[in-house]
Amino acid sequence: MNKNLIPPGFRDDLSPVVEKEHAYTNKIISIFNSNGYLMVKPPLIEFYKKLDREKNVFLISDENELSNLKIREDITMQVARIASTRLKKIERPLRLCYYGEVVRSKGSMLRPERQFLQVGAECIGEKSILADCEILLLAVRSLQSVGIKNISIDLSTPIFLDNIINNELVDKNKKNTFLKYIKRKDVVKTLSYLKNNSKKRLIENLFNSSGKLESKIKFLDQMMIGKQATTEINNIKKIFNLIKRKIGDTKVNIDFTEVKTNSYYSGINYTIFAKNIRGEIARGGRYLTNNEEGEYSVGFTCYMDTVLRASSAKNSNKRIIVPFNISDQMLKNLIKRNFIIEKSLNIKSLTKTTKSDFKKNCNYALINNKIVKI
Amino acid sequence: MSKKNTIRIAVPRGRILSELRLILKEINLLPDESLYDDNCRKLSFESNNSNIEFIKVRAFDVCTFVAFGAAQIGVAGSDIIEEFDYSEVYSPISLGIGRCRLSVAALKSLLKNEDPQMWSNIRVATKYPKITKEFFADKGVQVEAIKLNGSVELATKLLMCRRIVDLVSSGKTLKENGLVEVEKILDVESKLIVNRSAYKTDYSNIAKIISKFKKKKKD
Repeated sequence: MNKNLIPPGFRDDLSPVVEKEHAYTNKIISIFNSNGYLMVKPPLIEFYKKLDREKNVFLISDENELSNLKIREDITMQVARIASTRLKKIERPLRLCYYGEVVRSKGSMLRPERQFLQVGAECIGEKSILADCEILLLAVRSLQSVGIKNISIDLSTPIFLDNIINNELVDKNKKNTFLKYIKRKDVVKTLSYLKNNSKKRLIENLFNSSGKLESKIKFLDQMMIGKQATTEINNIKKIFNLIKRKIGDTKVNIDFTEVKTNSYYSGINYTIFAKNIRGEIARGGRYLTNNEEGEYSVGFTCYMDTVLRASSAKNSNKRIIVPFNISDQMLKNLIKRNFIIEKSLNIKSLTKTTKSDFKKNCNYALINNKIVKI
Repeated sequence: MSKKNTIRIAVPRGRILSELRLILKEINLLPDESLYDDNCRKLSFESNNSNIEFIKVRAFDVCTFVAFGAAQIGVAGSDIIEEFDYSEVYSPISLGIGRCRLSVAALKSLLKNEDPQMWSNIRVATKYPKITKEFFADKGVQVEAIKLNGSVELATKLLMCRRIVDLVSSGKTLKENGLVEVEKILDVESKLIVNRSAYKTDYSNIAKIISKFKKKKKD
């Protein structure tokens, strides 16, 4: 095997992508910080649990450990653990944020990457829909701050599909095929799996209600049958009314046929897209800190690889070669003007750069204390 | 290459195209006539709607172009949709064209002396290794797939494998090569497919096109 080869799905990232990722991460984290979100740093490695078997988890065997280990595939539930253990006694709502790499066991043709940087924020121990609003606004602002335009938020809730699946489709194989057709938005095929007419109508409503939220209120109202559905839809409407004036041209769509497999989101959840960008940029929603029990929480996480692809912001490409003994005053001045500074390490150029110091990657030079374009 | 708000529709070259042509005519979405010219080497085509352009790709590749967002909409057979099973592709509408079935077939002369119940493994030649593996896995049989891109019938005729999995329409090709259909895996027809991200971020435009095709279908 060629010694330079690295495993599929992993990569050596280079400049300027890495600087960009670093700058964006810092920017998003600083927005979280200034909104009262405290940073936490969970470990890269966790115990491998039974539940991990169906997930795309990178398993590690360690001879010294009695149980198997895994590299984390997600950070949200790690943060949830920190909140419900180490920070159990801290006043709620507890606002936490994080950034870190996660690893998957398999990539796909569509997304071959197996290692991603996630940056996210969680508001723990708060039931109020204001927490949902805060997280959504935080998500939109963070993404806008790093140059993401034409954002669409997709709101969903699993309660309707769960209701149908738990009551109608007991057979596991049937359930999986049914979900496959739901995922593909194939109405006719989906309906063929149901016998009960009211359930069929519900499915039709789920499909009909997907689209721009403002234009779908009529369908949403029709779906307010039973206490749980009524509360959930009212909450969605309330959230939308509270945020709509604050999100600018961000579109809000509704889609109850979004199937999230292996997801801990139990209530209203959202996926964020940007126009002409493949895949999801961020995702978030309501969950309980300890799967079935625990505290009511809401959060979101950005996938930085997609964020980088989607961002329209440009890196500064002003790079200047300067003499080694440049004055501190001049140095500060250049930094202020967004120059990237490269000192000449040529002993002959201690005080003065000459043509022989010019480098291909520098488009400016400091000659006699003047900025000259090369 | 094209305007940023253009919607690109990927259509398959080959036999489906003539059936699709009739549908496009009825909904008054008319690509440049050279799209239907087999001798034309062009790959992208304008249409009578300045915001919609067409690209012509191999039938097997339509889903891939749409999954990656290179085209926002496409026309693909349900066999291809199933084989690739991309998470980023929706297939909301059946177009009622390109109907056939994906089936398991075998050499007639071999069938008499075999008992498939005794098999733990089987070698199968096919363009559809994923569907084939899943189909036989459900029966508890491990498939050793031979991926071919055409003339699949030859593989079993020349004893490369016991079974083939391929599209069957009239059954004529099978018959002429001494093969019989053993079992149907799935019914196939062409579907309108949509890229997930485009559906979410450009909903109103995409929905307009979908509803045009939907109306046509009901007629």
